Amino acid sequence: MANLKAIRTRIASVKNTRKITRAMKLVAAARLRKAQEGITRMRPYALQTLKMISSLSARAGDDEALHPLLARRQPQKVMLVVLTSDRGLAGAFNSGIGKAAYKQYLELVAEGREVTVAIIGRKGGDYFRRRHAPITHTFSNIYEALSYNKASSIGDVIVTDYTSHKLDAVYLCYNEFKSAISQKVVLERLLPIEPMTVVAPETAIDFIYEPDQRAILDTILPLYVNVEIYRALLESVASEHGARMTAMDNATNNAADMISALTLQANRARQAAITTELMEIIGGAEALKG
Amino acid sequence: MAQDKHEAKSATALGLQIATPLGMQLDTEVESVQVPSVAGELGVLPGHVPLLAALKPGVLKYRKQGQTSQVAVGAGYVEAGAASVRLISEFYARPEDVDIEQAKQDLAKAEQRLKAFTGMLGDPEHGEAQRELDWALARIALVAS
Repeated sequence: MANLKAIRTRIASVKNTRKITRAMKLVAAARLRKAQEGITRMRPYALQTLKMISSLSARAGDDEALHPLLARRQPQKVMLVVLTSDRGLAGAFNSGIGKAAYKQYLELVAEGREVTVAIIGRKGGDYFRRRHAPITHTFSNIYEALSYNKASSIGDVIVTDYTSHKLDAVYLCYNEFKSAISQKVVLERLLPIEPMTVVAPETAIDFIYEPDQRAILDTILPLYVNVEIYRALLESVASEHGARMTAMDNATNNAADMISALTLQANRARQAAITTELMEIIGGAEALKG
Repeated sequence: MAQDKHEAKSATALGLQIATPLGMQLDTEVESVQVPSVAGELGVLPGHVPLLAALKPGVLKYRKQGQTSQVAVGAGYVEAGAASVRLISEFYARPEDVDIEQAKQDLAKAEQRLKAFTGMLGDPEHGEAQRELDWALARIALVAS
């Protein structure tokens, strides 16, 4: 029978762990709500921009000379932008995205493309560095005080690389938030911008462009990139907290199971000890009688 | 057409909507709007022809029931039509939201960052500092005017 004192110490330690995992679960739940709110709040901005892009690109047609971001080149140099988290303890969140992105990376390499990787979040950096993938950009300190401005800075880098022909295509790889228990890894093409052909009847009249169409496209197309990145960041944050919440909930339940198993063991050990003691006393008394 | 009906109904009113990544900030009916576009101040009255303009961080003015109000907006664009003006802007602030000391501090900090910046053009650091600088200036202009 195990040592009673050792078991009791163990119970105390598991109880502490349970306290921590429970607190982490609550924190994750609160952050998840905040992230979801962020997604809802940016919706009018994103929708309006998407509508504008589609109406502009419908009007611009396939005139790719109109703006470098609409230009479609042979996708030789491809960049994967992988969104991971800064912190671990989020279940399969980071390994899931890492695995999916790495698989995509290998496929693209097998097709003979020059693939580079841009990493957002500390965890992805570790994953890809270990596998010796060429990381050209690492964006750190994004999640703390996540703001649209930070998404814009990432967008700037990507747009600059694209317009200077360092890249021919850019893909975003991130966890899409479905619910607290399920996240889906998605791969989306960010650049070149897909010309959308939705023409609502009211957009039949052309706009007056102030100062001109090129300047408008210069403003709006990078904006689209920023919106997409910001949305992906928010989705990823929501997924991360959802995954962490579920993982911590499981950990809390496991700790509770462990505590009850250990308590049973401790009680057994205590009873065994009492029985032994009694036997010794009785044995001693018998011996004295004799 | 749907737009004609809308035009006839509200020949004197102009819907003004301002959306930022933090949500719809303003959704109201006004008589006229003056927006800071990259090509200069741009006045919009009801019945305007469809227009699309790029925004410059600065002060937007609008008249509502004879009263003029001002707000600061960031970079983005504006879509004006006969009965509505829709702004998509990075930032938005009303005069009462602006902490002038904070804005001045942000301005100094952004100037410092730009001055100390030695990396390549197109670096995220540079763009971020530049946007912060523009936004600080827009807020200061809003309070000063």
